[in-house]
Amino acid sequence: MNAVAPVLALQGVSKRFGPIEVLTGVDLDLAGGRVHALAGENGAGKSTVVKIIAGIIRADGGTLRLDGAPVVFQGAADARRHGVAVVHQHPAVFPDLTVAENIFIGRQPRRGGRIDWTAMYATAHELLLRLRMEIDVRLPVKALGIAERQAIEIVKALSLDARVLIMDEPTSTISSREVDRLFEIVATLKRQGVAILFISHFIDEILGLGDDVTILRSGRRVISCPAASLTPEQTVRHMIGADPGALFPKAAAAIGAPVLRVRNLSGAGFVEDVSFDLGAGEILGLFGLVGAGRSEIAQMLFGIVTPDRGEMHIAGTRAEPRSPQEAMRLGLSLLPEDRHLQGLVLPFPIRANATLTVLRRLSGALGLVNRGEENALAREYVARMRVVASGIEQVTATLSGGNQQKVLLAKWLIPAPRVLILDQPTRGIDVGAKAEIHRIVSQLAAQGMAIILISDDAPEVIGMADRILVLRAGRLVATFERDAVDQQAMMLAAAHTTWDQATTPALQATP
Amino acid sequence: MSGLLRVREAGLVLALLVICAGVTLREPRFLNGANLEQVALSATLVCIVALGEALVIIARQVDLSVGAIVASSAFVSADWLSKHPGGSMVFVFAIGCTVGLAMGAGNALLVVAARIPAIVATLGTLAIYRGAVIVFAGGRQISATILPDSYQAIAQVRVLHVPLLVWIAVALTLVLGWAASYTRTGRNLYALGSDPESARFVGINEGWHLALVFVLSGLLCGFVGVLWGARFGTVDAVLAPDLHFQAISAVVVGGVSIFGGSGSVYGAAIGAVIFAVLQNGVQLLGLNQFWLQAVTGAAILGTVILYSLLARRAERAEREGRRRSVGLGLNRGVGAG
Repeated sequence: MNAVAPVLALQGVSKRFGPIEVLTGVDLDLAGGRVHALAGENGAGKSTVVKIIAGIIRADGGTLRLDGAPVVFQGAADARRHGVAVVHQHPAVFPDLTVAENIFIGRQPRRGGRIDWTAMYATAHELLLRLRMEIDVRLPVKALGIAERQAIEIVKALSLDARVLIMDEPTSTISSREVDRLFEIVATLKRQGVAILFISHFIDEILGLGDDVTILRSGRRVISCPAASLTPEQTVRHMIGADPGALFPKAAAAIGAPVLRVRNLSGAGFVEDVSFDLGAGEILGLFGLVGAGRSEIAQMLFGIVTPDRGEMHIAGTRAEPRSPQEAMRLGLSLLPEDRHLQGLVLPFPIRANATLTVLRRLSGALGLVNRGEENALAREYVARMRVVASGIEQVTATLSGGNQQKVLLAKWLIPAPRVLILDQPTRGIDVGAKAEIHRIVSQLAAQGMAIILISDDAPEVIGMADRILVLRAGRLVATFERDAVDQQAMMLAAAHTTWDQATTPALQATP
Repeated sequence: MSGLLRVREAGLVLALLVICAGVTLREPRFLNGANLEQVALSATLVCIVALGEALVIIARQVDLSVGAIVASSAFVSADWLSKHPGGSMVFVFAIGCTVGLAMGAGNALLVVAARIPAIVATLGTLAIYRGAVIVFAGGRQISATILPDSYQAIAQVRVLHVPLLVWIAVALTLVLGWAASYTRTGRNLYALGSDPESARFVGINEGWHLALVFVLSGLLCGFVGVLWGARFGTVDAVLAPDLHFQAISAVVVGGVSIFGGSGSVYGAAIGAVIFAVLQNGVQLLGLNQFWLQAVTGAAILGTVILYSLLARRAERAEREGRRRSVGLGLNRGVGAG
């Protein structure tokens, strides 16, 4: 690939978490003075690679070589001592400590045995100026925004005189000015001979900033080559794999009158002017990368987050839910993204979880729950969802992920919603359960329910949705009808910062 | 240190002065020299315990066993002295401190090695330590009459007209306050309390630091145990029954966040003084003891509500800042592409 001997190399590195193998025999060479871009879909194993190089977790198999000699890092501090610095996607900062201290934590400058605060503030200020950041170094970090926290991480890495710098999606949370500055800094570091591993979702960054590119898919290396030899289309194809046409049993359904009408929805920090209509019996796919605003839109519709602007009409009536309870009364249900944290009370039996949404309806004048009615309801839905369990009293925590998800679906179907919002309904569950959930969703649509399907699983959205809206950075950037959808174009729209659906079917690699 | 902390401590001193002025207005005897000395002495013992507790809470832990450790140390050391009336005072302190150190190490072991949450671990040791000293004492009380005068003299010594005990508390406050802001170990405690996950990422040894704060807290309690006996003369196994409440109250009112990571040792010391003044005021004004409880509770809730309002304001400012920066991010395709 290149003649320069790598500073740091992964050779045949594997890692498994329990029964799941997340990395399988991955090779990666980082050479001094070069930027190596690492790409791949969510769950491809990029973060695991980062954690192994950073010493946070240890590989199960394979070797890590530093200057040709095998090394095993005993934790993050050890990796840092070997000259490996990491800028994490979510800045690991201490909110209560000052900016300067966050940069120098654990290695504060000392004079005569005491921490020299004056020198620390001065040095931190100087380092930030190199990034052209004007931040008061005496401010506690909790007073800062996310971009500034990111900057602190970068400054920290710079001040460590790193030989290997790992940047884990550093651009996903910072502004354009800061991205430009970041790229300037990357160029400077390259000139100084630092080996850089750069992880990004943005294809133009991968191809524009990277000298070399490695693409991972399902924990395996698909390709490693010079960035110049890849086009954006090839990059996407390598990321998503060859066969996007997996089977999804979306039954044909007549799309009826609009049930939900959303206009100029804005809020949750960065969602801007999102408008769409959703008809009865329609499945609307919301596709986008992490941080595109998918879940934020769901939370605004469901009254968890109050939008700054915009209107929502349900069956022609203006609706402004200010809480999930109000949203439920308006006929909305939201199957949340994280079934453990947001969805299920795991120590409860299936019955109690399933009927949690309708306890008020089930309870009489004294507030006592009618157990007979409750049991009947739980039994009916457990059967309809085909939950595999010993009975409705089985503790939810003991079910498989797929069955838990079916219980969660039952919980949100029991109130009989007009609009069902599904946020990542099949993430992390096995293929069989996935197909079952798709079958149920498809049936519900055929019965006239209006459904919003949020997912970052492109084949799922393509297979299930009648219409797909692609989100990027809080805005709708493209719309695809069911019969005219193209996975590559959809991925490009979600990931490419310069995509324009009307004008650019064939994209050029950007410098 | 950051400006915010300075403001916080200045506010505490101001609150202390306002309380003193209020009590004086109703009862001028408050300013009487002998009375002020009593206030200072009762503040002293709680203050030293609160210093250790402050460091524990800054590291996002809690130590409920402080009262039990003080009682154990006081009883064991006084018991030894009653049997060896000519014994060296240095040795008495060594015994008390060793008891405290060992009990602190017990807490550290449970929290660090057995990974039991501090609130549960020290709730357990609170009962175990107290139970152990009650069994050891067997109902005995060691009274002033059988203890040598040199022991009680510790509490009588004055340096520059001020009791030695007060000087000791001031010195410990300054030393620990300094260590918390001017040593890496001290700052690591703040880092751990602020975000334990991030602390692991930067390679701070969590176990070592947590062990340190529990052992230190135990040691300070052991030291206070000896002083306790010297000050009150009579020692039994059930002394200082609610010292953990007093210490945690002082720490919280002193501005240390119960979630760790912020506040200062100085604040905790001022908090201890505030409670001593309140207690004395209630006694001087001849109020029902109930008022002391009520005032203590009101002081805790009032300050905590005040601090959380301040924190919420800071958070809102942060969110607005974030919105601005994300707003810039929307058109960054122009710059990047």
